[in-house]
Amino acid sequence: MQNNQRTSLIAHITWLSFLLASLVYLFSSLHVVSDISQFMPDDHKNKDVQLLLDELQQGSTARLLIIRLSGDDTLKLASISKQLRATLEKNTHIGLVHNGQKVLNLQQLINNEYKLLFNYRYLLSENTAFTKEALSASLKQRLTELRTGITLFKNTLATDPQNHFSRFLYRLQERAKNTHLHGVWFDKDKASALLLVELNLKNFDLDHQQQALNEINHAIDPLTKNKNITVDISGTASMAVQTRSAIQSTTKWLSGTALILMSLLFWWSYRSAHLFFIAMLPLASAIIAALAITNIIFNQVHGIIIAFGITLLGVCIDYPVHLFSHHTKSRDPQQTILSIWPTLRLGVITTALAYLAMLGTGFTGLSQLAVFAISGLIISLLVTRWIVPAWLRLNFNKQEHPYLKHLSILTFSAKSRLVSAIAVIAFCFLIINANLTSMWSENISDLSPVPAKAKLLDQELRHSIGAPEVNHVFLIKDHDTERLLQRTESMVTRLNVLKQNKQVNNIFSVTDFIPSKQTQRLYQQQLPQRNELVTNLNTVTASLPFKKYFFTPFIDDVSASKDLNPISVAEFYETPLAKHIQQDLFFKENNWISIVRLSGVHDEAALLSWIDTEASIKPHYLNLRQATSSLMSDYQQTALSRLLLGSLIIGLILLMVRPLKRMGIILLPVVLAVLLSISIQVLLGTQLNLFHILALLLIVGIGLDYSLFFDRKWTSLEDYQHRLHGIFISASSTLITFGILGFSDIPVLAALGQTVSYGVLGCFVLTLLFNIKREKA
Amino acid sequence: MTSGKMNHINKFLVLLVLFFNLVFNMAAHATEHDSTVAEVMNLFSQQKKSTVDFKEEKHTSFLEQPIISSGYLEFIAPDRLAKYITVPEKISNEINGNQLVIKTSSETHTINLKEHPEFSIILTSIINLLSGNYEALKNNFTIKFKGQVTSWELELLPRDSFIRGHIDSIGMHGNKNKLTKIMVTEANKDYSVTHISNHR
Repeated sequence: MQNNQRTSLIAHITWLSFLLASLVYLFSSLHVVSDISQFMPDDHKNKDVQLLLDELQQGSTARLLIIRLSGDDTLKLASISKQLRATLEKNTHIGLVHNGQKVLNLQQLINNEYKLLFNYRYLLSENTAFTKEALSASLKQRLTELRTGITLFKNTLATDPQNHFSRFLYRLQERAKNTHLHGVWFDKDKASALLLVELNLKNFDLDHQQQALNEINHAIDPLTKNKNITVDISGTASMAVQTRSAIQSTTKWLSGTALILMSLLFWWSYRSAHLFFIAMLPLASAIIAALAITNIIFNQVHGIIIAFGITLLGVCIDYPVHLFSHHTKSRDPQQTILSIWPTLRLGVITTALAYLAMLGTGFTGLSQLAVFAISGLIISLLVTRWIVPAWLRLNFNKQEHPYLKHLSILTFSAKSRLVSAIAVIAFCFLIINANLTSMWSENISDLSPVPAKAKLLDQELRHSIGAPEVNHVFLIKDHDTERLLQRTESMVTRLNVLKQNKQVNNIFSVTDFIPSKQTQRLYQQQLPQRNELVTNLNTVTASLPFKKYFFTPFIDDVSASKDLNPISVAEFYETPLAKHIQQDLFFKENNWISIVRLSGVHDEAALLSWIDTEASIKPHYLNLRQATSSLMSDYQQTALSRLLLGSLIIGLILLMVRPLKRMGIILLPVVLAVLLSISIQVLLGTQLNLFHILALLLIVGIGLDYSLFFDRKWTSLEDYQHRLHGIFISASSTLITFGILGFSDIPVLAALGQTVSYGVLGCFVLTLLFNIKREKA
Repeated sequence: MTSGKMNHINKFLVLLVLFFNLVFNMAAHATEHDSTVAEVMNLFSQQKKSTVDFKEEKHTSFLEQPIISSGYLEFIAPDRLAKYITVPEKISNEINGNQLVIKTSSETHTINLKEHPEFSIILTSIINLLSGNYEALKNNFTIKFKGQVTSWELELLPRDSFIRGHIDSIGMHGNKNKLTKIMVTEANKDYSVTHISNHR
C-alpha cells in the first residue's frame, strides 16, 4: 500500500511536471500553420502547383473581397454600388474599390500617385501612333470629344494628345470582362451589381479582417436599409472569418451539447457525473502532450492536424471508461486497472503501431498526424494506468443495468454469424464496386475547413466577377526579374498564335503592364526623333484649329522619354498598379515568378495537343485543376495504402500474441465495420477524401479496442457484464461526440463525424455479433 | 409757431408719402419682375415637346478658331433632352433621367449625371428651363433675370463650389417660351455660344 502510494505520488509529480513543461513550451513555441500547401508533400513532383495554390490562397488575391448586390431593380442597385464605392474608398482599411465605373478624374490621378507611370507612359506600351496619319486621327478624335462636351481629356491634351496613358490604364478594365449596366458591373444575367474591394490591412490577421468586414457591413447597412436587397460578400478574408466563427460555434455547440450528454451518460451508467471529468484527464493530457511533441519534431503543427488529431484522440476517453466499468466497490482501483491493463496496452500499442505506417510517405500532413496520434495514445494510456486509478473514489456506486442482463444472455449461432458476414461483404462489394470511379473526391477544396455554403458562394461570386481562371496557366521562374520578363514576353509571343487562331479569347501576362527593360528600350526606339515629331505635328496641325506650340509639352515628353532609364520591377511595385499585377508577378521561395493565364479556352483538347508540340512552352504549362486532382488522388492512394499497411501491422502483432483463428475473430468485425462505414458514405453520395480515410484509422483503433476487450477471458458473468458495459458506454460516448460533429458546418469535421459514427456503430454491433459469449476462463 | 409746427408735420407727411410711394413702387416693380419670370416659366411648362436647330461655337484657349457644330435639339417634358450634332460629324448626346449617353461614330460613353455634375449642369439647366421648373434652377443657381416676356435674359451662377471650379456662368436668352441663345463660360474662361432657331 505504502509502495503504491509512493508510486502514485511519483507518477503524479512526473505527470504534472510534464504537463506544465508542455504547456509552457506550447505557450512560447507553438507555431500553427494553415496553408494548404504545408499539408502537401515535401518533394512532390509538381511543386509549382503548390506554389500557385499557395499564392492564390495567401497572395494578393487573398486581399480581395467580392460584393454582390441583388434583389431590387437594376437602377437602384447601380446607384447603391456607386454610393458604396464612394463610402468605402474613404475607409483607410480599404484600398481601391472597383465596380466598373470608369476612372474619369484622370488629371487628378496623374497629378498624384500615377505621376511616375505617366512619365513612363511611352516605355510601357507600343508606340505605333506617331505617323502623320495616326497623329492626325488622334487629334481629330480629340476635337470630336471637345465637340461632344466630354472634357475628360482636355487637361492632358497638351501632354498626351494620343491618350496613350489612358489607353494603357484601360487595359486593366479589359482584364475584367464584366457586363456593364447603368455604368457599373453586373453579372451576366444583369440581375445583380458586383463590386471588387481590396483590403488594405497592414496586419492581415483574422481580427483585422473581421474588423474590416464589419466596417464594410456598416457602410452597406444604411444604403440597403428598408430595401429588399440581398448583399453577399465573399473572398478569402470573408471565408476565413466565417470559418473561424463556424469553428467557434461548432466548438461551443459541440462541447456544450457533448458535455451535457456525456454527463448524463456517465450519470446513467455510473451514477456519477464527476467521473466524466476524471475520464477527461487522459484525453486532456494526451492533447497537450501530442501538440507539444508534434511541434518539437516538426517545428510547427498544421491547423488541420490539431482539429483532426484532437478528434482522433477522442478514443482516449474509452480507456478510463473500461476502467470504470470493470471497477467494483469492493476492489482497489489499482487492482482493477491491473486486471484490464494487458488488454488496454495491447489495444493502444497495436493502434499506435498502425499509425507508424503513416510516417515516411513524404506527405507532411500524414507524418504530423501519425506523430500526434501515437504520442497522444501513449500518453493517455500512461495516464489511465498511473493517474486515473488514484482519482477513482472507492465508494463510487455502480448502477445495476437491466439491459446488461439481456445483452449478456444474447447468443448467435455460427451460421447466423457467417450469413451476416457474407451479407455485409456482399453489400459493401456491390456499393463500392458500382461507385469505384466516382467515390473519390478530386477537388482539393474538399480538404479546406471552409463551411460548404461559404465555399459555394465564393465560387459563384468569383465566377460572376470573372476572377482569373487558373486552370490553364504557364508558370515561369527566374532569379532575375529582367530575364523573367523577357522569358515571359517570348512565351506570350508564342502563345499569341492561339489568340490569332481564335483558340483562346485572351492572354494575360504581367508584361501587359510592365514590359522587360529590353522591350521598353524597343518602345523607346519606336519613338520619333524630336525633329521628326515636330515636322509631323506641324503638317498635321496645319489643317486643324490647334494653336501653334500648344503641343510643345507633348514633344518635350516624347523626347524626354527617349532618354529615360527603363522602369524596374521594384519601381513599378511602388506604383498603384502594383496591386493589379501582384497575382501575375511575385516573389516566392527565392524566385521571381511570372504567371501567364489563358482565358476563354474554346477547345481544351486542341489546346493540350498544341502545347504537346511546343517544347519551349510545355514544361511551363500547369493545369491546376488536373494537377490538384492528381495530387489529391496521390495523397488518397498513399493514405489508403498506408491504412492497409497499418492494418497488416495490427494483424501481425495480434498474430504474435493470439492464435490465427482468434486473430481472425478479433479483426473481422473491425474490417467489416470499416467497409460498412465507407459503403454507407458512398451510398449517401458523399465523395470520399483524405479525411475519410484517416477517420477509418480511428475506427480501426476503436473497433480493435472493443474486439480485444471481448476477446479477454472472463471470470464471472459479472465480469462479462462489466466489459459489455464498458464497450457499450465507450460506443455511446463516441457516438455522442462524433454524431454531433457529423452535423458541423465544417465539411472536414462533418466527414469525420459521419464516418466515425457509422464505423463505431458498425464496430459495436459487429463485435457483439462475432464475439459475444466467448468461453469462460 | 403754429405754422412752424404745421411745416414740420407737412414735411413729415410728405416724407411718409414719399416713403410709401417708394416702397409701393419697388414692390410693384418687383411683382412685375417676378410675374415676368413666372409668365415665361409658365409658358415653358405648357410646352410638352419641342425641336429646334442650333449652331454652337466653342472657344477654347488652345484653339485658333472656335469649333463650330450644328444640328438640332429635341426636348420631351419632363426630363428628356437630346442634342444631335449633324455637321461636320454625327454625334448624339442624349439625357434620359440620370444618364447621359454620348455616341460618336466610333465610341459610346455612358455617364451618370449624379456623379458628374460638371457634365450635367448645363444640360440639366436647359431641361429645367424648358420644363419651366424655376425652383430647380433656383436650387442650383443664383439667378439674375432681365427684360420682358418677349425678350428676356437669364444669368445663372452655380451655387456649388465644385461646379464653380468647372463652370463660371450660364447665360440664356429667349423670347416667350423660345430659347434663342445659350452662353456657357467655363472656369478657365473657355466659352461657348449656341444660337437657337427654327423652333417647331
